[in-house]
Amino acid sequence: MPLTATGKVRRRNQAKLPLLLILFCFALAAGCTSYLAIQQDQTVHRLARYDDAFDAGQGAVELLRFQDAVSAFALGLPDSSEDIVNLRLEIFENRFEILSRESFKSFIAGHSEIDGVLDELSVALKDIKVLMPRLSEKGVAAQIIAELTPLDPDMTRLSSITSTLVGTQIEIDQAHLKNLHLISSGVIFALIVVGVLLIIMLLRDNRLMMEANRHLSLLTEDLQVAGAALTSAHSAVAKANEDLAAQNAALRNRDEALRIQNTRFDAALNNMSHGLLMADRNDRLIVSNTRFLEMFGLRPAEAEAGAALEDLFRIMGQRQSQPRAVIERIREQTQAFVAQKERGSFYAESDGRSIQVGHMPMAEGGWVATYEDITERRKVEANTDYIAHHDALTDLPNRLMFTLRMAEALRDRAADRFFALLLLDVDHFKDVNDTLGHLAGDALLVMIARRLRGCVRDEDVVARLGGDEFAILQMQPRTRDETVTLAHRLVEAVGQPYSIDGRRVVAGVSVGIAICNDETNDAEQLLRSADMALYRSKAEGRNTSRFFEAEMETAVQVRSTIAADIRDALEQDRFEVLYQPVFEVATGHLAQFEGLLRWNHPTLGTILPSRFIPVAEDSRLIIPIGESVIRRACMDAADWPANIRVAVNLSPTQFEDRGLTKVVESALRNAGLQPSRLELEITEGALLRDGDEVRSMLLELRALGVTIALDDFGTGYASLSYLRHFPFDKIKIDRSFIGDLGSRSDSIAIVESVIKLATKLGMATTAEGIETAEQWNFLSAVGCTYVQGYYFDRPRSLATVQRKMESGEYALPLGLEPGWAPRPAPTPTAA
Amino acid sequence: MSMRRTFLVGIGTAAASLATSPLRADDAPLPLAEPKGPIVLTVSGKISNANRGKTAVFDMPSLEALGLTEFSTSTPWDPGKTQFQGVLLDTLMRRVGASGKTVVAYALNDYSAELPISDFARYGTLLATKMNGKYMPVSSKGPLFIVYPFDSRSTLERQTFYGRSVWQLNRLAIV
Repeated sequence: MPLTATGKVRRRNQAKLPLLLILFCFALAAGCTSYLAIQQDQTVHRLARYDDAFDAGQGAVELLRFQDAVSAFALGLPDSSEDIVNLRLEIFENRFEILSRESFKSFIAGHSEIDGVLDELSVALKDIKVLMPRLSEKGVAAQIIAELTPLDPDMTRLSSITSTLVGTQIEIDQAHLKNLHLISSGVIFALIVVGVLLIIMLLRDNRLMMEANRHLSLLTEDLQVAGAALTSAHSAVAKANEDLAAQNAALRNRDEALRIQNTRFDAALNNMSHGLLMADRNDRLIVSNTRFLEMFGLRPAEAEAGAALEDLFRIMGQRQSQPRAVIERIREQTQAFVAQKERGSFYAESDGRSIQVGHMPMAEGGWVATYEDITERRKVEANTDYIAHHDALTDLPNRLMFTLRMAEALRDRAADRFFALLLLDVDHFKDVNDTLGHLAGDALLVMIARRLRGCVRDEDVVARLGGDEFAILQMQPRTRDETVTLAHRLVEAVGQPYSIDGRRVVAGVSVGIAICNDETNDAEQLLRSADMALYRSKAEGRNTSRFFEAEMETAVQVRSTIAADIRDALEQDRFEVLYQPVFEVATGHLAQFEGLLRWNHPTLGTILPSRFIPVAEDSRLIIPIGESVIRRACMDAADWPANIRVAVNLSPTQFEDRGLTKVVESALRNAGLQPSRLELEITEGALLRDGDEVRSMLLELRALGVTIALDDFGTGYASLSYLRHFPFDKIKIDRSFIGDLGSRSDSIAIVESVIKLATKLGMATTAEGIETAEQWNFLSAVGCTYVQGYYFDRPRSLATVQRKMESGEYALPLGLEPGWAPRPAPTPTAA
Repeated sequence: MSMRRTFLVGIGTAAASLATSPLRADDAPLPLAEPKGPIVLTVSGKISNANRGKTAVFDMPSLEALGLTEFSTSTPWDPGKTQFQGVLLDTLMRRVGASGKTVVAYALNDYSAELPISDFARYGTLLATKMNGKYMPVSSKGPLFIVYPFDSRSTLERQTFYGRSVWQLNRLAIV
């Protein structure tokens, strides 16, 4: 290809020479033509130029006319005048001047026959001009004519020669033009020839050009392809360059990030609370931190990168920082983890020192481990764990532990096997606490715990659930009788008297038992069953044990149904207050009414307070019930005569409500009732709960002006001490004493002494439940202040008692009269 | 409303000023002055503005009063450049109201030449009264001399125009 290209170039160079020649010819021809054109133009110009011959001819004519004018003047012809002569002279002078110019002189130069003509004319004109002013003088005109005559032939000669010269000149010019024309023709012919040559050359050259062009376009295409390739290569290089720059920047950033990370890593490493050790696959140290060195008493030089771990552990064993056994355990366990390539954690403990180790293999071989000295934490944990699971007082397992043990027992129980859950509640423990103090109570609990522990086998669990509640898991009784035996043994053991601070104390225990077998194996269900059995056991006289029975479940359900019904009754206002009259013995007048609650159940009919009050107390519904009774009684009593008072019973549970005083106060205010007309009756049970609290509440109530009566007096066990604790206004002697008056002599003595005591203490007395004339006679005889009972009237509705008051039907039969017969007593249905 | 009125008044004023502006009379040549000195030129033939019979006559002042023009040019008759001053023949033709196509120029020496009137406007042909700042005597091509500005174009340097350059002129006839 380069060879071919060079060939073309040479061929084209060869073609150039004739072209150049032709071009040169063209230029030459152009020059010739131009020269010829100029020549021709000049010649033509010369031909067309001023006609000297005409001037010369005119000169001759004008000379003759001047001569004529002078002659005519001389002859005195009519049309002549001096002016005309002058005019003709001037005209001739003008001609002469024109002929005298250099161009004309040179034109005619060289012709001897007319050499002196112009000079002669000049001389003659000078002479004539001199003569002209004297023209009119005689002879002057002739003189002028004489001057002029010799000039005529000269002028004629001048004219003719000039004509000849002009003709010759024209001939020369025409010949010259002819030559020029010939030359022009030749040049034109030459031009045509050269033109043809040029066309031939051009045609040939064109073919070469076409070929060259084709090659050139091929070359151009190649170049374009090469160019495109170059461009793309260039852009690729640029792109690569950019990538490289970006990569570079990224690398620099990463280096910086790494440096920062390294610094942070170092700081983090040495500020860790854990010791850290990193080793490679050949058990050589990679890195450790300051805490690790401290923990194992190592010097930095001993734990440099590359140190063999075997040596490291040997040195650690020699140092006294950790027990040798701990180090040995770490070494062994680490080797085990390394061998199995496993991650995990373990404790190394010995001599009360504990180190927790976390071990993790690394992806590239080797491993990393963290070490934490957990000695203190382990101690605390052990202690905390024990405290969390044991009762501090008795050192028995607590409720949490017991729950765990029971869960274990449930889980581990084999089919067809059973175990027993016994719940125990110390009877009247509160009394001990209240009378002998908390320390004595605690001492009693410790002793009971010891006795319980003594009754069971080692595998059994005895726990204190809280307060005076205990629980026992009898793990593997062979028969139900074994459990019965254990229960009896427990009741008997706890029932033995105790000696606390030299005082003899008697306590009892109630036991509820539930058996866990294939049918019953739910922890919650077991506890509920045992609880129900315990409840029954306590209800049936305490100091005994009961197994759970299905009917207990029913009883519980009945109670919950009643509770729901109570709620409905409260909403629907189904509670009614009945009033039973109380008479003053001394005057025989009606003194007050006791408000008594009656529930008219929509389906069950009238329900006695004894049936629903315990449920209302358990569910605390007694609080809203009691409040509604107080409000009702106050409203009702407000309509009564001012000397008639009203009494309302308060349940012990109502004292748990701190708002009781407020309730009473607002009930009185709303009803507009004098506080002195309201009496509140409380039982000993209220005082048993929290003596001081109840006492302060009673004082608040008394401050309102309300009177307080102690109800059911004599049924409790420390009644007299309460009388000392709180100054009651009145004592109500329990109906059981009144009922026994006729049959038991001790009842007579008790009633008599109670009345005497109350009188001495300045308290009034009320005898309840009087049903016979004998009872009434006796009580009026022993000085009881007030009486109440079916003998006088049973509780009646508000409407009834109002009607009876208005009609004056309430009157007390005073004393025994002969022939007095008791009214037929109605069937006692209410308290 | 007041705007529109002002506008209308404006138009009215403009119309009035148009109506009152004098019309320009173009082709009513002023009457030619009566010559007081010797007559130097007589124009006869097809003319509309005459002052003596059917001809127009001029003395030197009344001729020069038509307006003077001057130029310098080389001529076949004198070496170098000659300066000419005089009246444009085109002006003269218009002043006498020439309506022909040709002028025949007559000289004192009875030479005559025919000149197409179109020459005057095309070439600026001068009726010279002065040569090199001096009035011309008859002995020196006077009193009047028709001159073409030969130098202005080469076409004028021809015998045709030399022939038309009439000296010692005293009469023009429009035919």
